[in-house]
Amino acid sequence: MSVSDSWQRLPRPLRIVMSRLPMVFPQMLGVIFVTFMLVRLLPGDPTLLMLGNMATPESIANLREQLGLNGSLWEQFVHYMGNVMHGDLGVSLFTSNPVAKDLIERAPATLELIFYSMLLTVILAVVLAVIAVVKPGGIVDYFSRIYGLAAGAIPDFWIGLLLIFFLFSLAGIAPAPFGRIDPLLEAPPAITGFYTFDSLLAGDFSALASSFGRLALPVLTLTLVNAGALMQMTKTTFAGIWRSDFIRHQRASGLPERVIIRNALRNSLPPIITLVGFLVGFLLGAAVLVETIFSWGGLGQYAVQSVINSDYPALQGFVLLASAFILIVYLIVDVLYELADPRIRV
Amino acid sequence: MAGNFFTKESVSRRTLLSATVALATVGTFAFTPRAFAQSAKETLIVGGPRTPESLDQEYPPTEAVHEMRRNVYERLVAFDMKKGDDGVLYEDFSKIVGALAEKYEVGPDSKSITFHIRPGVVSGAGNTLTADDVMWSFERGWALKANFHWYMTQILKIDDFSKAFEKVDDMTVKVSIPKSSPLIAKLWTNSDLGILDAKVMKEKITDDDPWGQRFLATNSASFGPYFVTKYAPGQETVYQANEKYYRGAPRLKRIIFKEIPTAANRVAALQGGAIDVAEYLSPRELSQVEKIPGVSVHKVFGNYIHRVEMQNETKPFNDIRVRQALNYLVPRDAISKAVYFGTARPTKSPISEIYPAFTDEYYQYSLDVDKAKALLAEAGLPEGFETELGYRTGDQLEEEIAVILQTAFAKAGVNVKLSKLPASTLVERYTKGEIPMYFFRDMAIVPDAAYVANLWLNSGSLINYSRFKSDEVDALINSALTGTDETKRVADMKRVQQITMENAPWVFLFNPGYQLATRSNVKGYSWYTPNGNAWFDFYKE
Repeated sequence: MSVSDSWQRLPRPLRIVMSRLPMVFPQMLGVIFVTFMLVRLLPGDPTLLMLGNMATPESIANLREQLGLNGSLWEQFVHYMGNVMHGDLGVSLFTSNPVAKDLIERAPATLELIFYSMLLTVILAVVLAVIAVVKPGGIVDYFSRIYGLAAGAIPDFWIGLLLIFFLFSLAGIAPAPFGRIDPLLEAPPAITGFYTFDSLLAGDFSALASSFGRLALPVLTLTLVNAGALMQMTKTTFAGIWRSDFIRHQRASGLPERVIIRNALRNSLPPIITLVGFLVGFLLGAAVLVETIFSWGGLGQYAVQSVINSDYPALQGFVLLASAFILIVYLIVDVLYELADPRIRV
Repeated sequence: MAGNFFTKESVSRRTLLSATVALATVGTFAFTPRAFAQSAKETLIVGGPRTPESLDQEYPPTEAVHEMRRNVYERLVAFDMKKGDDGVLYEDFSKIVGALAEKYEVGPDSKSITFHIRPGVVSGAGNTLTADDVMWSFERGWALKANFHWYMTQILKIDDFSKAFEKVDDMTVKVSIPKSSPLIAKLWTNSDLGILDAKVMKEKITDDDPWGQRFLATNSASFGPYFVTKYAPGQETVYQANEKYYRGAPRLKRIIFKEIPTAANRVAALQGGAIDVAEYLSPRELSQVEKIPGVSVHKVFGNYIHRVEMQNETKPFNDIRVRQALNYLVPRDAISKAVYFGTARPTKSPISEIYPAFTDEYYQYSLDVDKAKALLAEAGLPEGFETELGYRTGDQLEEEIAVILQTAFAKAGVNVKLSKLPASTLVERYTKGEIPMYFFRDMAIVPDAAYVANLWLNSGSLINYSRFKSDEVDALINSALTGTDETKRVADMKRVQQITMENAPWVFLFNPGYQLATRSNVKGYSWYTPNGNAWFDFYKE
């Protein structure tokens, strides 16, 4: 039996993953190299900024040594790569924690935010798009046109600040715009790292209510900004399919509208999946601003701080994790894409 | 990792969604937050721009770290506290009292100090203080070559550890220094020089970490009023009261410090009552917050000095007349109203106005465009000149002042290019003397004029970035650093202020003060030189 035969016997999703996976490693290596060099190209010396009044030639040399800033750029890079291979991303200058620990602690905060935003974005976008196409000329159709135009033009941080101003400061119906949970409540014991899931698992309903409340504004902000693009795309694709021959045939055959919509949607999936994949990656970037506004304490806020502080290890660690995350999301997109449409070979 | 969680998701999603809808409605009403009614009065929620970067007192000084030290670390001696006319508790710089050391004696010629340790002082971990804790803290500080080492070598001129630090008996420690120093007692009031709980520290030591740096970076071990129970940098720090603190149990049992980077959100959270204290608000925000019912703003004129430093060694700023001319061009009244909303007042000396030996009698720089033009003409620059002014990215206040200065300087033909730079870039450029003018906002935490002048005006100081050099100033500072005749020191420091004001190494701007916004039921506001709040003094009504 030849190799290709046993290869063909493997289940299709596994084959897709296995042929796609080896690509990830050279991609990651390239990302590490480029970010290391780019970060070092930033002007500025963190030691002087940190020492302030206490700078003496001795203390500067001492701190540079601690921060691993001595030696040539190549020596620093080789040293860094060696450490990364062992899972050591260095120690953050401004949190005094190992970067890996910081990232692991913060990742669930950001993922929870992205997860709910994505969920709401997809629901909102697809529902609006389908109704707009199925009932042209209706209120939803008009609304979706205006919203589609506006959504691309409004910056997320501005929407965030407006929501805080109107819903928290004026109306007083939204919870305080900082943190993932009320500071007087204990965070639920970490199982998944998502406060909403963990508090449900722990049966702690006040923590659950509080963490959902805190999620409301940032999720709304991200959804409002991102659902527009997805809705437009879905509308275009879905409208094309809605007018196609096989849908007309189904209708002529007397299938109920509900089934027709489902079939049309199933056929519109590939481009939607692609865009959702891009959006997930994009949300990680959008989270940088939104997290800072809502003091979310996730990866985005961490990235902003590390740039401001010239915190090299933290910044590199963030970029590394972000690129790994995006590569994984694209991998999933590729796999889903092939599954959704068997004709496609990625 | 991500893939894993997505699969988990789909399973629990449906259950979750249906559960959520029910709970969102029921939850808010049926499940009141756990009973904190009693402890809410003993819990203080503080919103600040940043959590401390480290809990180790050897970490470089930052505003957030200074505040953490004030609450966690306890020192050997302290200044007595007295209530000012404004009802705020201040340090009385003329009276040093015992803290962890019950009493102290300064030896002949101020060349030694003996600390008698207070019996029965207990740390957050429950250990009792002895001379071993003090000696171990000294050894650690010396070995790590950071803050403690800096004070000992730069200020007290110690060069040999074993000669300088001596355990006399279990409750007595003696520090001897090579030359007499007027700061020998004062220096130990500094919260950078805290005493560690050596018993806890020694348990955490490993072969490759002989001083427990990894432990202390994220944990506390001292004899202060609070210890840290949760350190989540970038999110929050939680302080718990040390019930056996030597000055008595703190009235506030738990301090939750939340990092809220956006100042506008600290305002919103304070207004909504979600936090009790908002730190570091801008003057504009303070002026709004003051009008909100239920909110108080505490204001002091502390020790900050905000100025534009000029590169004194390079043209055209190597000419005194040019430097004076720029000082005559600053519209201080306009800046005070438009930018500071009255929270700041002009700096009239290089020494902080609350420190002993401060004088404003040599200040001469009122707004006078004609005089500035005449000075520039004398200096051979009747048409003015082009220059550059650097300020930090994200510093709204400096940006506003920079724009006003640009307009003001242009009246005498001085055309300023404004450069907005990331903090680390700006620091690097002015350290190397590569930017002609830059904003500088700093304070010195030791309340002594010679100490302050030595940092900023001594030509031998590494942080005299403006490269100001006057032989007389150098000589006066150096003699005041070792001289113990207080009357002569004060006279010498007045002379230093006179020379400095005439030489105008900086464009003197403002004492921006320190302000704190709290809910009105938060009382007991106090101010210390590091501008960090001591929660021990606070209580809720």
